Amino acid sequence: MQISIYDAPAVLLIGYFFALIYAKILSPKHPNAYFFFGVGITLVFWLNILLAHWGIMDLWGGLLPSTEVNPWIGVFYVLSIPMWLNWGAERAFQTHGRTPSQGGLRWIIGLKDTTKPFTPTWKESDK
Amino acid sequence: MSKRALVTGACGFTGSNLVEHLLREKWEVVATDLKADAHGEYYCVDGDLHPMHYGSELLEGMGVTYIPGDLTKKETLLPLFAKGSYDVVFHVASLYDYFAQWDVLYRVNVTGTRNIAELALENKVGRFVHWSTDGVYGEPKTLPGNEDAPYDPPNLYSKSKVEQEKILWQMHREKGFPITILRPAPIYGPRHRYGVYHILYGVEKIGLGAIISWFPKKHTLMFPSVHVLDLVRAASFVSDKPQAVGQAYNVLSDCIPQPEFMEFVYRSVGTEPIFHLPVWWPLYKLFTKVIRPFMVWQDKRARKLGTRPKIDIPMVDYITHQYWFSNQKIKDLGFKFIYQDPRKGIWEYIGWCKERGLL
Repeated sequence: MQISIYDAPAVLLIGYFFALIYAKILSPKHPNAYFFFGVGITLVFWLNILLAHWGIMDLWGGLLPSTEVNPWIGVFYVLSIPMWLNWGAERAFQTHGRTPSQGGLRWIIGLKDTTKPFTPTWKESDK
Repeated sequence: MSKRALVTGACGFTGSNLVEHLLREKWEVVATDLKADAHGEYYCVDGDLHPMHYGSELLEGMGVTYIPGDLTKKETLLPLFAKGSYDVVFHVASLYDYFAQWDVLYRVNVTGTRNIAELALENKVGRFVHWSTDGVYGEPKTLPGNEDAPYDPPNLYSKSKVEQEKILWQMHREKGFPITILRPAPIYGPRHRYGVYHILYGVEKIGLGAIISWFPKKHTLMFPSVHVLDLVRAASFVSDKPQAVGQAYNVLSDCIPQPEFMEFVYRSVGTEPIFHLPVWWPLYKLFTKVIRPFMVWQDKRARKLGTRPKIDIPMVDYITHQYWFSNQKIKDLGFKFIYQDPRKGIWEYIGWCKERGLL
């Protein structure tokens, strides 16, 4: 079975950077974006492998080198793609926080607080 | 006839809560604190965290007499006694700031206490209830530490509190000054912004518990704390007890294990830890030994830049030291805690913070 050894690190990095954008920009207005993006990226990677497996096209159009592996290892590798994506994303959440108000581990290291303030659960007018 | 009290540090977190409590108990209250524009003289820079002091506007509409004064300048305290003496002087005022330098701490906490205590003695006050800290013990040798534990202050702030106590004990021994000393654990509750708040704020800001939920496997560290309402109730309670003269009392809820406390905090603020990792005690100590030099470096860097670190160095000591104290003595005196289990109070305090966008 043909696989690209670059898929796992690529999906890990994509997960990391998307999670960062999601945490800092998208999460307040589009809380489901992380889920849909994760599913979308996984489908793209799986589709690429399936199309290559069926002989419709080369892996990544032949732009990246591919490796022939045992089918069982290949299946395991393919199925692990969402896990790499999630692992990368979780590292981003740990480092930078999950919302604009959080700063992750970076928060404690820096002297300057770049996170947004928390939102009060009520306003004066609600009293 | 209502009892008359003087409350120092009345615009601060604990002082303002005490004023409210005394008014609820129908005391006649005279309140004093620094003028708002004088704060900068003693308080360090605020950094990026929320400011931790208030102004006299906090007392407006409460029905107290507010007379501004500066403990370090004795002449500014004279008007406090112009209309007679007091049944009780509650000396709450203190510079509680781990980032403060020794000279400022000495001036405010030690000289300031001597000034107000001397005036109280001259004016024959009925009782002088003094706010100390359980930090005066450092890490007690026998657990849980009681009021007989020797002084071993682990930081400058606690050292200044020891010096305060020494002055007062001497005045008590030599001149019969009627003192009662309260040694509260870290205080939290409405308007609190420094200390316990940093734990909650840090957990919320970091946004995960996995790192902090490292805990020593066979060496359960305890977490001491007290809700401000219990503390001010205790102050009012001891002021009425003749047998409390010349005594010191630890004032704190029952201590709970740190892992249990942190677990409760994670769940309460909504950042559950991903996993728990019991760690071999020497390894845990080593881990925190690595953190300390980093905190020292942060502290130096902050001072150079004219700001302050998010977490002060002595706060880190709480995760490696056994600060486990007994509240039995004040219970034996008949005092009943509302927040005997600190989780009840912490839960309410988290709600208070969330309502105001502080968490």
